[in-house]
Formats: sequence, C-alpha cells, structure tokens
Amino acid sequence: MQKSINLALLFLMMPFFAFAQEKFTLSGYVKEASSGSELLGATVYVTQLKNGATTNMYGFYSLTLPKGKYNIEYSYLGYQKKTIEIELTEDTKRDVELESNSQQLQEVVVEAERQDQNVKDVQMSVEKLTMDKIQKIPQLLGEADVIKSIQLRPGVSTVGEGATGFNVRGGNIDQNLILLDEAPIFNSSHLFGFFSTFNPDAIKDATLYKGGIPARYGGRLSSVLDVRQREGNMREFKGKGGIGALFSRLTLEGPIAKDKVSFLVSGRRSYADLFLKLDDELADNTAYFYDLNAKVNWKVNENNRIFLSGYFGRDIFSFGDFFRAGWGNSSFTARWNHLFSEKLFSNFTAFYSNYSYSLGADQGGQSFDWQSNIQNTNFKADFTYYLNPKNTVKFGVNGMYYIFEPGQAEASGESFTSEIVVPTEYALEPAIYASNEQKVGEIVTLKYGLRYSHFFNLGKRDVNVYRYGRPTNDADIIGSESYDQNEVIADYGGFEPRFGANILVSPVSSVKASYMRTRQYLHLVSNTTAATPLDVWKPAGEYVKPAKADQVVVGYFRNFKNNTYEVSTEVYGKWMYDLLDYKNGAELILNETVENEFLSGRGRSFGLEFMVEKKKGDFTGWVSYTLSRTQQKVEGYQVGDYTEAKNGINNGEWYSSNWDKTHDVTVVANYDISKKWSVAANFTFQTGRPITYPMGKYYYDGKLIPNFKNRNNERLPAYHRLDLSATLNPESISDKFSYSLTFGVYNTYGRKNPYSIYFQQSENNPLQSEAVRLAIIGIPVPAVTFNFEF
Amino acid sequence: MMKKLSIIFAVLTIGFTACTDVVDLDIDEKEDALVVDGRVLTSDSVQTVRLSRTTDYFNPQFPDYEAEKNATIRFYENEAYIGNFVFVDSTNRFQILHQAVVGNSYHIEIETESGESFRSEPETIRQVSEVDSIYYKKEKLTDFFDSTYSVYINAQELPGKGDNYQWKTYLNGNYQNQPDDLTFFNDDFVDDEYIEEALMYVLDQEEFDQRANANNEIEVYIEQLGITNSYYDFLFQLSQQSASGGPFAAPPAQIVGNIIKENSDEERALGYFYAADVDVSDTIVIRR
Repeated sequence: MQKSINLALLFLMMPFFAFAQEKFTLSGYVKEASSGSELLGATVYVTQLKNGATTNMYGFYSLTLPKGKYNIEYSYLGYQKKTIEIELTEDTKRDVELESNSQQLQEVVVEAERQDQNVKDVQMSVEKLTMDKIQKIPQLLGEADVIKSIQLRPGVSTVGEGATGFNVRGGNIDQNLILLDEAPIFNSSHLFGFFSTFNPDAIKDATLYKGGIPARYGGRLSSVLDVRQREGNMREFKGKGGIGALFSRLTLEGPIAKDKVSFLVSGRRSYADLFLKLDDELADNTAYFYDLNAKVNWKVNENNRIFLSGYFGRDIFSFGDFFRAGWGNSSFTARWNHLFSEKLFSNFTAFYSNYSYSLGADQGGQSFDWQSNIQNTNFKADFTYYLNPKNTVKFGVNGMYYIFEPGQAEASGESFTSEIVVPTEYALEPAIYASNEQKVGEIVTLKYGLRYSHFFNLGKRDVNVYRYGRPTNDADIIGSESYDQNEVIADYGGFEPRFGANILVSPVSSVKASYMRTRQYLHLVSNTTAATPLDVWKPAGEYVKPAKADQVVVGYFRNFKNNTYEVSTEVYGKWMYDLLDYKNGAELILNETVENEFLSGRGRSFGLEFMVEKKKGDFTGWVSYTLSRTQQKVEGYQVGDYTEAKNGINNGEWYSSNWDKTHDVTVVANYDISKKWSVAANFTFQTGRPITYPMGKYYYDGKLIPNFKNRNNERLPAYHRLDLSATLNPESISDKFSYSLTFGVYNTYGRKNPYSIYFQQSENNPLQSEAVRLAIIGIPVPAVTFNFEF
Repeated sequence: MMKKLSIIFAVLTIGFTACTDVVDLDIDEKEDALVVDGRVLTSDSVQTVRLSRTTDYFNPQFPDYEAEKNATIRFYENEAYIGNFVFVDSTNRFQILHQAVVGNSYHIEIETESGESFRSEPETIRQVSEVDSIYYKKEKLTDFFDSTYSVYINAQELPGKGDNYQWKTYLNGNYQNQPDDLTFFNDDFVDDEYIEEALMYVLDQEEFDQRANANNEIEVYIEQLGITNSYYDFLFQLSQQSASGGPFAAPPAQIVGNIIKENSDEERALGYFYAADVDVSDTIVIRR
C-alpha cells in the first residue's frame, strides 16, 4: 500500500519538475459585458500555440507562456468571440468582456470557433445546462426546472413522475451530491417531487458529473450536481419575474457600488393556498412552498473577491389542528477568492446547511410534535496552480462536521404519548485531494488525481451492544456502551483515485476514458418507491458501513459542421458495495433501534449512452438514448438463534433495481420561428420500471392478501409522454421592459403512464381481487406562464 | 399516531389517487402454499384454526377451507400435548375446547394429508389491561372530510415495555376485518401512560346509514387484545402489504408468519397462529 501511495505522489509531483525557461503568466477574468458577471468555462485560446485554457468556476483563467507576441481568442457559446494581441514580456493581468449574440443585429452571424469543449476537454460524463437552455424545455405547469431538465439527459432517470430526486447511472437518489453554491442540499424537491428547489431566475447554470468526477468533489457515489447562483448585475439595476399557474417569481439585482459590489435577491412562492382562504370552511388549512435566494458579490480588489450567498426554502402543509407539517433546506455560504499570484488561484469556502422537518398535531389525545434535522458545517480550501500551459494542478482540503437529529417526538397538549428521541449523532468528514491535468504532446490529455477521505462517527452517544455482536432485534440488546463528547465511536476512510484521459483522434473527434472510486459515508434511510420528506439520513457508524463504488467509462466524441452538432457515446460499468438495504417489513420511521432493520447489499450497473445535440441555429435540441441494466444483490445473514434475516432479498440473488429502465429515449427540440415566436417539444420514451406481481392470493382474518415472493419480477408498461410549448416574445414596450408569454401542454396526448400497479381486494367485494393502475398525471395539463424583465 | 399519519398521507395523496383504474393482467408465476389462520384467546373457550391454500390471484372463488380438512392439528400448552383440533363442517374451522391462561405458551403442529409437517413458533400470552371506557364523538376531523362518528377508548397502559395491542371493532356484532380496519399499537410511545382518546374507528354518514339497524342506531364494542411482539410484526407487515402501490409504499414482500415447515430451513406456511389475552369493552350505541 505504502509503495502505491509513493508512486501516486510521485506521479502527482511530476509536472513540478518540468525544466525552467523564461515564461510569463497571462491571467484574468472573462466576463459578460452587460452585467459584468463572470463566464464559467469560457475558452481562452492562443492562436500561435494552438493551445489554451478555459475559465474556472469563478471565471478565472491563467496561462503561462514563453516570452513573446500572441493572439489570444476569448470565446463562449452565445457570445461574440474577441481576439486581442498581446506582447508578453512580464506577468500580465487581462480581464475581457464578451458581448452576447442576442444583443446584436440579426444579419451579423458570429460563429465562435472554439466551441469544441466536449471534444477537447478531458472531462467526460458531464452534462452542463445553462438556464437559457433549461428555460426552453417545456415542463409541467410551464415551470422551468433544473432537475427535470437534468432527467432528460442520457444516464439520468427517475422512478416516476412526482418522485423526488433522480438516479444517475444506476445509483440511488441518495448517491447524488447536490450543491447550491457549494452547500449541500439534502432534499431537492418541493411538493414531494413535482418541482425542484432551484428557482430558475436565481440560477446561473447547473453541471452534472455522472462519471470521472473531479477529485475536488467527494462524499457521494454516483454524481455531483453543481448548481451556481447568479451573482447579480454589477452595472445596472434589473428585475425579472414571472406569474405561472403554480408559482410567482420575482428577482431583483443590481450594483450596490458600481463594478464593485452587486446583489441578487430572488423569491418564489406557490399560491394555491390563497384560494383556500376564500372559502370560510377551508380557511384554517394551508399548503404552499417557497424559496428565497440571496447573494452579494464584492470585488474587493484585483486579487480578492468575496461572495455571500444564502438559500431558504420550505414546504408547509396544515389541516387546522388536525395536522401540520413543514420541511425545507436552508444554507449559507461565504466564499473568498484570492489570487496569491497570477498562477495560484485559491478559493476558501465556509458554509452551513440545515435540512429540517417538523410534523405535529394539536388535537386530542394523540397530539404530538416531531422535529428532525441534519446540520452541516464545512470549511474548505481549494487551490488551482497554473503551472504551465501543459499542466494545471488542483489541490485542497475539506472538513465537514455533521449533526444528525433524526427524530424527537414530544407529546403536546393533552396527549398521552411519551417523548421519544432517536439519538443524535455527530460526525466529522475530513478530506484532502490533489490532481493534475496534463497535456502530453498535441493529442493526449491526462487528468489524474487522488482524494483521501475519512469519517469519524463521534459521541456523545450511547451505543447498543448486541448479543451476537451485530444488530438483530431488540430482544438481543444486552447492554449499551457510553461515549463521551467527541469520542470516536467508529471511523472509516480510504483513497479515492480518479483518472481521465483524452486522445484526440482528429481535430473534431476524440476518445476518452475515465475511472473513479467514490466513497459515501451517509445513507438515506428509505425503503419506499419514492423517498418521502420524512426520511432521515444515517451516517456510517458502529453498525453501518460506508458505501463505495468503482466506475469505468469509455467514450467517443465528435463534432460536425463547425461544432453545430455534437455527437457523443459513452459506455460505462459501475460496481457499488455496502449499500444500505432493509429487511422486508422494516419499520423505519422514528425507530430508536433502526439498525435492526438494515441489510447490506451490492449494486451493479452497465450502460450505453448516445447523444446528438444541435447547439446552434434557429433549430436546437438533442436526441439521447440510454441502454442500461441496474441490479442489486442483498444477501441475508444468520447469527446464533437469529434467523429472521437469513434469506436477504430474493434469496440473495441479483434482481432489478426500482429505477432500472432498459431503454430510455429523449427528444428535445426548440425552434425559433421568428423573433416573436418560438416553439418547443419534448418527447420521452422509457421501458417501464420493475414492479412486483403476486404469485397468488390468500385470506387471513378475512382480509385478502396478495402473496408476493420475488421482488421486481415484472415490469410496468412503457412510459411515454410528449410536452409542447410555444413562447411569444412581443415587441418590447420600451427598452426598459420586456415580457414573454409561454403556452404549454404537459402530457399532450394524455397518456395514463402507470406509476405503479398495486394489488388489493375490491372495496365492494372482499372476494374480488384487483390490479389497480396508478397514474400520477394521466391527463394533459395545460399552462400559461407570463415572464417579464426590466 | 401512526393511524393519524396514515390518514395524513392518504389526504396528501388524494390528488394522486384521482388517476387510478382497474386493469387486467396476466400473472404467470404461481406458488401453491398452505395458509394457517388460527388463534388462542382467553376470552373464548373454543380455540380455532382455519387451513386453506393459496389460489390464483384473480380467482374469484371463496377460499376452499375443506381442501385440508383431513389434516391433523395437534395442540400444545407449555409444550405439553393437549389434544387434536377437530374439523367442524358447519364453521369450516378446526376447533378444540380449551381455556387459555395468561402466562402460558401455545403452539400447534400440523400434518397435511399429503404428508407435509408444520409447527408454529410458541406464543406466550401476556396480560392485557382493561378498556376503561368507550365513547364516540360526532366531529369533523379535517375540513376535507365530512363529519364523522369517531369511536374512542380510554385505557391504562401497563408498566414495562413490550406490550402490544390489537383492537378489533364490532359494529352490530360484526367484526370489522377489512384491510383499512386493522388497528394495532405497541407501547414504545406510551409505556405506563394513561391512554386517552385513542381513535378506534371512523364512520362517515354514508357508512352509518348503510350499517344502522332498524332503530337507526349502531351498537359498537371493542376487543382489546394483548398480542406478542412477533404477532405485532406480522400485523405491521400485513398493513404494509395490504396498502401497497403508491409512491410511498413499502416494497411488496411475502409476509413472514410463525408457521415453520419441519425438515426445511427455507419454507414456511403462510399465515399465523397467535395467542392473546382479551378484554372486551362495554357496548355503546351510536345514534344519528
């Protein structure tokens, strides 16, 4: 082991030993001209060297070149290319602003030449969606949605309409690290799963890493969804908003000090509940959700920038005294970008996030008040060292502290129930990483990195001791062991190697490969088809192991017609270990000894993803196809007299996961008919997800019971759906105010796509057994949305 | 509380259930298994067992309780043989006359005509507390429900954790045994507390009108059963499996009971043979 670490370190250090020659660094930020906000992933290309760089997630670039005279091209999709001539005789800072295409006259067609990031970049398995793209996709009730849009990309699926979260390459929904300005969001949905928590007006873009995840990210097995909030306009005060069937939105932004400090405040609220107030009988009830995003961006000086951002969102339901519930995320992020030199860019981040829910009832003998939350405090430092044009080194450290309060239910009022507390758990997750992206000659680019993460489950807490050394049932608890505050109860750790390679086969095509190992120290405790907002997270600890996964991907990328068309295909294999699963009949809610319900399993997923995307012109969109297979294997165990768990699930055989969909085809198209009108369509076809059919029935105590045996032994009928929309952009009333109207229909031909089929006795006749199809949205849903900007 | 939560989720998913319809399916896989439905109660001197076999899911026939009428069922108290259950044609049940006692354990052994042998895991009867009072209220639980007749009980929970309850509701003498009627509880939240206003049964006006007798009233009483941990787990599975299918449903699974097949580690018969102490409440009359 020691030897392999030494080799790895040597490999990482290699670029530092490159020989010296007289070189200078050109660095700076690439910005959008109208608002002054930074462009992420913009291309900076040195014509003479046929080489270049891209801006990082803060819009910063750095190129170290031999002394000389160069033409530097700056480009970004949707913006006019800009070329500057520069004589590099000393370290130079150069900030560049690019003008948006849409702001110029129609007849001038600007083609940004270097939009071949997908071919040239070593990063693969990445889906980048700008808000501009997301807003063109027809969605339920006309609400642009980050997560619903992500689900239209290859390799991403969901168990069904209205289900929270998403599944990436066979991973469960808890295997996605969802970041909003770097702070993790533990539940990304409103109204169970119909809408995501990201207000489109406040979001700049979203990047999903499905494989080859950069070493700076860790903590989840399957993907990272990195969502960035907009910075706010540095130059002028602006507003935008919309009125839809479900939400209203309003965003304000502008300079606090011109070109120095900007702000953005964005809010969104659903208002169906306001109609309840109109009816006296229903006035005590409420059901709504909201989001509030805020951000301040301060350019202190050339070398220092500070960002403060916050998010607060919640779902609230109440039925008079009978029941109330609320859940939501809040997060606060402070970031400091500091340039130590032209070559060394750094970012320091501190954040706090809290996902909490509460439930309660104030009526009668069963009144209660139940609170649960997961809190997360983090500090991290990330460095990018632009060693030379051929090597970019990234390294950093990260420390995350967690408090899990899974449940505290208190009696309230005249209740007879006593207090129940599922013990609070504390944990610390430190990590360190380093990686280098290295260009080898003209054709090959390598990216290699290593992450080491560790996890400490900490006191203060009492841990149950079981007769056979592992959890079985409550009767086998023979005592408990007490741990003091911050005493280590259990700890786990390990290396996470990451590797990627890009071989340019021709100027417009490349072959890429990647490997990654990922580790995950938290599990979402949920055994239902769709997760509920009440599900709690369980950290690795004395009786729960962390999960790990290995993924290998190979892909071919090719662009056509001057990068108008991007074609890509990727093949992946993924192996997952120590996944958390549950005994049949598990009781997971407010269970003080929930460890008794756990089983441990493995997963594997194999897939082929194919995509053609047209990125330019009046007609844009993509066709994607995924062929995949995802399975799980959960073996049982038996200790002493305890045999309840001995068969595992399906007798320990491999079986299809709930989200395994063999074929998944998506077509997304947008056509700008004229300056005034554009139309869009979105069609999806998917193999039905696996479900369980009974192998017969029987009666017990007069009740009809379906006799299930093998989990997921059948499939639902195929899922398909067409959504359409048309957007009208009328002539602006003035320079200061513009608006648009979007008309849309979701599920245009009203297919009753089954979410599930369930088996029950007929309400009218206990002898009659039924199979009932449940369609979440079985009718066409029309909507009109009004959007405005000023 | 769990009953309340299940009502809540029902309300929250009302929007979903609007889109359900009954469909025809071909179900190819089949399993033929013995089903045991038996109990020992302190409230009854006749103990009963019903045997049947699983049938095709869409088979509309009554279960055939005579198919295993030639089976032999031996009855044991504290591991001592008491006698054999006898099949009674008029009730389609196997019966034995024996008074059960709190603190004793009971199990059965079954031999089917085809030669298969089964044995139930013993159940020890734990004392149940008395139902102090039973009453009903005419009330509106939420604005989304019509007014209902809600039946409540009060009872003292006995000290010491591990008490489990099943409540059976009788309307005009008829046991309410539909899947929705299943009410059971453990003392995790209520150990040694005085249980007040525990919701037993909800009748809406329409159901009241259907059920009411000639005097336009319904007689109600509750049986309070003290059941074992193991039977509680069985009922929990039963409630999960009879409400399968929605977005928040647990995975469908075979319900594991306490009937073990002799000489086979893997197989079990379906169903359960349980033993419980019973307290019967007073009878009240719900009037319109």
